[in-house]
Amino acid sequence: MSSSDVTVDGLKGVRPGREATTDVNHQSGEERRRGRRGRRGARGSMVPEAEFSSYYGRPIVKEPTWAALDIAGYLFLGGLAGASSTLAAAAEVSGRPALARPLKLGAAGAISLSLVALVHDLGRPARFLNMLRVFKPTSPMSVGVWILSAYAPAALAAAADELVGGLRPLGRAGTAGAALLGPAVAPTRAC
Amino acid sequence: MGFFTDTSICIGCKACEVACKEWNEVPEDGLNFTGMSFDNTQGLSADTWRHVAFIEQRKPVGQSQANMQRGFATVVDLGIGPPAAPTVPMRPSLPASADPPQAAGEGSLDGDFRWLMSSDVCKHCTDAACLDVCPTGALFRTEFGTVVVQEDVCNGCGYCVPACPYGVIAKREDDGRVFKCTLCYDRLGEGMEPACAKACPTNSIQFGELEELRERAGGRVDQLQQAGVLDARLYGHDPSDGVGGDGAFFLLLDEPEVYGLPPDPVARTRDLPRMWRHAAVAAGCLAAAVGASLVGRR
Repeated sequence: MSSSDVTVDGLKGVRPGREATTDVNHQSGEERRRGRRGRRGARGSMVPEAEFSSYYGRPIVKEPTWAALDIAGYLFLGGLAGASSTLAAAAEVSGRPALARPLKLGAAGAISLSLVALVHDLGRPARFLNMLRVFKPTSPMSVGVWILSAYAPAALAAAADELVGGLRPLGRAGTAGAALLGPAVAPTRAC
Repeated sequence: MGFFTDTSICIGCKACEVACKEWNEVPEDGLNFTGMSFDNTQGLSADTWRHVAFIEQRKPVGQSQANMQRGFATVVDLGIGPPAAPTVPMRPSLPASADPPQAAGEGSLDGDFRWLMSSDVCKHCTDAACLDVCPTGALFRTEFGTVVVQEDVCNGCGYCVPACPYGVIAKREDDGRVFKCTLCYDRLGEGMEPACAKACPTNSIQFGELEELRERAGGRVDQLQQAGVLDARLYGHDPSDGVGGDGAFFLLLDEPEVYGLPPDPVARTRDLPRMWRHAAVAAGCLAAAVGASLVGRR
């Protein structure tokens, strides 16, 4: 039997079996077509259904290597922090210190955890700083890391001022910086 | 500099795989028996930088077995050197009424069988997505036009792995970094040809200047076509394709998919401008939403 369906999880550990055909993965093509017809009725388009074919049904593109929790956490917490900082500044400007305080602390905590998640996902965590040796607009990750390294100190300064007090100028600069970078942090997490 | 891999004269000896491993000290990649074919390497990975695919097909050898001399003897002598215009057709005795080669594609079950062999490798794309998305600059373009990972810089973020349209570059799990063919960067620097090309006994793997290789490959395809191998085609030779042309291109005897190659590869970084625009719009929306929240009653 040919059991070389390409699944979301890839083909890891699965061997196509000794009767796998090389050029066309008939089984999965058939099944896919049947499934499609069930949903959309028998009247299809004029274009014949595309069939997946590859070398013994192996996927052509490699599966991403990242751990889902790490990268999802990095993205979600980054977005959370960015939006919180911007809201915190807005709350401060409009005279709502009770709202600004949890937002600043939340942003600092979220961005710290976000950073931890990112570093944890690296194959060589000790080499995190290698990402700061170049700036590449063609690499969303490079841009994201640079924004992160500008934003995180600002967010932490704002939170430190909130906690310790007496750091007015630093805290103000941090709040303002984090607020300005916040909208940049949030959407670039999604890239 | 680059490779032209002429799969029509590959004999599947896997000397290139061995030479590559020996020279580059690539670790063992699992002594598996796949059960699906005689190819136990299966594909390119962090520990396999050359992979010889064995493809078994129910198709006639050379598109038509009729009157064809046994084996590929007619093909072997055409391997290297500047392409000479073929003066002698390879199947002079083929009757005119023979099946057109295309129609023979499906083949029958009564003995039609051919074995395609092809040595796959990193394509060293002109527009290399892996290089573009690398956040550390570990991947770089060498003075030979090849794409190489600097092992002392790579931090194993793995961003290049799904970026590669060919599924070449991969992470070595116990090491954490990514590895792939370097086109023997160290050997090139010494004026030597890459280990795989050096070891190839049939000159299926040819190394040289891309311009010259493309010319040679074009001649070779014409030669095969005239000899009746109508399925012969080049893959990755066109500088106007989605990856700006491959630094390692191929002569194939069937559809690229059969060899596990994407038919129309695209460097996905082409969508970056659009992506950045969307990110900018999202940032604007967030700022606007926060600004709007300031308006109104306390």
